[in-house]
Amino acid sequence: MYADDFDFYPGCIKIPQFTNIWQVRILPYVGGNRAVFWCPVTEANCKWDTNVNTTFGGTPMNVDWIIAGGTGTRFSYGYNDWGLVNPAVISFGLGGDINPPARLELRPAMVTKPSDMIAIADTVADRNFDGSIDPRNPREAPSGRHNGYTVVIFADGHVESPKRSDVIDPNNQFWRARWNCDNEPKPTITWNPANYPN
Amino acid sequence: MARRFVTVVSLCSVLGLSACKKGSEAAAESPPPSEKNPVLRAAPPPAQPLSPDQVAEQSLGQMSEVLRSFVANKGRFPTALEELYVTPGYAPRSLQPPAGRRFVIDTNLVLVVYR
Repeated sequence: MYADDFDFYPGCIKIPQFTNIWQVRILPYVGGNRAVFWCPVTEANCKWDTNVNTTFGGTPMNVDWIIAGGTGTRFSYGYNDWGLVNPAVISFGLGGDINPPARLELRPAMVTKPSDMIAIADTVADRNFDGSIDPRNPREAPSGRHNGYTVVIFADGHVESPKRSDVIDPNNQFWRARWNCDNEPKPTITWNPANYPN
Repeated sequence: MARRFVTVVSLCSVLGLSACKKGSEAAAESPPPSEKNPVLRAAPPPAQPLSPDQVAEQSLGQMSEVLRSFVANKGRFPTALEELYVTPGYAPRSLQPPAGRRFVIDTNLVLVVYR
């Protein structure tokens, strides 16, 4: 719906402010219901609700000021911003840093295979860029909080619950490709998923 | 094809959480973030050696990642590139540009570029 209306995906972070925007941008498409952005396995302080989550920005606190940073806003779900490739002008995820006209959102035409493109997943709710997911970073990787499984929403809208260990496995070419909008596994990129937090 | 991209966020709360169990299985709180947590993490070498261009590209991407974390955490750009090296938890000294090139901060793009 959002991508149909705007012809681009919402993108992850507004720079240089470093605030998450994907949640705010798609909120109208879920009827303004912030509760659906909370995974009940996480603590209540991960909710998109200033009554229980005091990690939003602004004075007074603004519920739509979702801080992206090392001590950012605590959140349950993250957005695939960069894919497996480090930040650059072009994103291989579903759109990273947004600051038009220099940094633009990703158009749907850039996604080779939406049914194999990770969009949103459970995130490690530790306040470290919680609104983003990245399998290469232990504090941004998808969480395995569902008994070792993680909920993944794809760009075509379907949902899967794979083993978290598969999703972050650098030797799993199938899952590697699903991180990138061109559906390529980017074999030159490596990481070590040992001892990731759950 | 992107029609349902958003609606599944709400579906996720129905479809994805049937196995949710509150309590002991809830995600443990990770250590509080601090600047001592390294931005970069050691990774095993790739299966095939990288070309010089690939190494240069990866170095640039890693440095951009460091810059983004710095700006996000500090709310400002570093006064000079050197600040990314001397501030604990950001760029290791081993992260250097290829010979004949240098890292430059592009404040418009919030990226590190080569000059």
